[in-house]
Amino acid sequence: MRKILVTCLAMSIACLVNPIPASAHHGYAAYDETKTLSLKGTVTDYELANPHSTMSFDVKNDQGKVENWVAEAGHIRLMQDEGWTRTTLKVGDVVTFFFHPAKNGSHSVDLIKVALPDGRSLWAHSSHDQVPTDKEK
Amino acid sequence: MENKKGVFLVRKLRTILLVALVALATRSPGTVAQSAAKTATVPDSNKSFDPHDLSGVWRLPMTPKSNLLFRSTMPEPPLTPWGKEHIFPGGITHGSHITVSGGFPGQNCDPIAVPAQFSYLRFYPIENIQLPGRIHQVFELHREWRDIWIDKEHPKDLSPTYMGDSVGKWEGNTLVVDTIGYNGKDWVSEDVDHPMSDQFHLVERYTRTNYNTLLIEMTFYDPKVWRDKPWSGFTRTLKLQDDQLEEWICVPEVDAKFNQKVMKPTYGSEGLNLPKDTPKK
Repeated sequence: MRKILVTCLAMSIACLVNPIPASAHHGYAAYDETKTLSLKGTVTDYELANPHSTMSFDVKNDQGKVENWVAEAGHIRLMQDEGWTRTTLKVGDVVTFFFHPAKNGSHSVDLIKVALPDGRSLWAHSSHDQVPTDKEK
Repeated sequence: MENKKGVFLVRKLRTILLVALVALATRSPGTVAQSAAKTATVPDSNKSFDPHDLSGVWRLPMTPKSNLLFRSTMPEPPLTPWGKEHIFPGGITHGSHITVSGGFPGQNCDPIAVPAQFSYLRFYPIENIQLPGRIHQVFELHREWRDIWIDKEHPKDLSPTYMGDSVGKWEGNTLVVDTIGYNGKDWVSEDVDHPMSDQFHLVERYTRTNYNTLLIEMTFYDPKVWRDKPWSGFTRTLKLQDDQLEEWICVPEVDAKFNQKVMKPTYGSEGLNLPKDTPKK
């Protein structure tokens, strides 16, 4: 998977620094939260929704075959807080999306952010949270 | 000697700097996102307020220190055999289950009662509408509501419901809300390892501590689960919002489509609400 760029490593330090995200709707055990990858793709579907917004992208693999990727994003309020609107993406837009991959290798991923054609980069992480500090527990 | 010490210090500083840079570079995007997120929290002020006025839109502030976890500062009382028998398989692990069978309040569009609703005040605000003789409380999540009847007694023959029956009275500047009449079909919260029983009894204490802060302190009782022992130490400190509630309806068909599209490929289909014509494997 040549096009996949590993943008974050140093896992042991990351685990110490990063709190485990929690969800308002479901857990994230199926995703590898220690890895952040990115792909360039063409938008095939985009929907702001509760409990989670979703977007899909066509991505060419190493063999030149087009594969569809589905990304889970935040709920409507969270997306709006981050600047998303119903017209932010349209089918055919070419974007770069950043995500935590599925542990089972499926093309269903936990979206983090999208680099838009207009140069903006919008966060879309569905957990959007962190566990409290020890003092707060 | 001086020179060696200097070289050692420079190396040590360089190591610290490198570790710090890697740590910053690998910060969770969620962490970055939340600090950048816009919030509608009304700023702190010395503005005068009526302590008996709890109206307005309230939410946990979106700051890195606010927490989603809704945990007590006190240990849970010992469980009865009924409580032990009803512990969820694997307990609550906040998504560390590889399947979704661990569940969560509101899964598959199930109702979310109070106190479970208070698990989500980080994401979804509530609105208190103060009316003569009652406070109408609206929860953005799943668009649910309940009434807190002021200076009234619980009806004698209560029909059990998800939300139960809530009555409140003022003790000085604190509104004490007593809720019974639960049907026992809901979770206590996302952070308690077993459901509530039909004998669950909730006592909430609402205190507006300043113009933009509302403190809620809670004690849980459930003789079927904890015998006569109360479980206190649950608090939520909400901030007044310059905001309005948004539509948040859990539509089973939409939920099922989301599960089919996103959850099934990663988690499998166990415990999922899926469209009726979806093959299980």
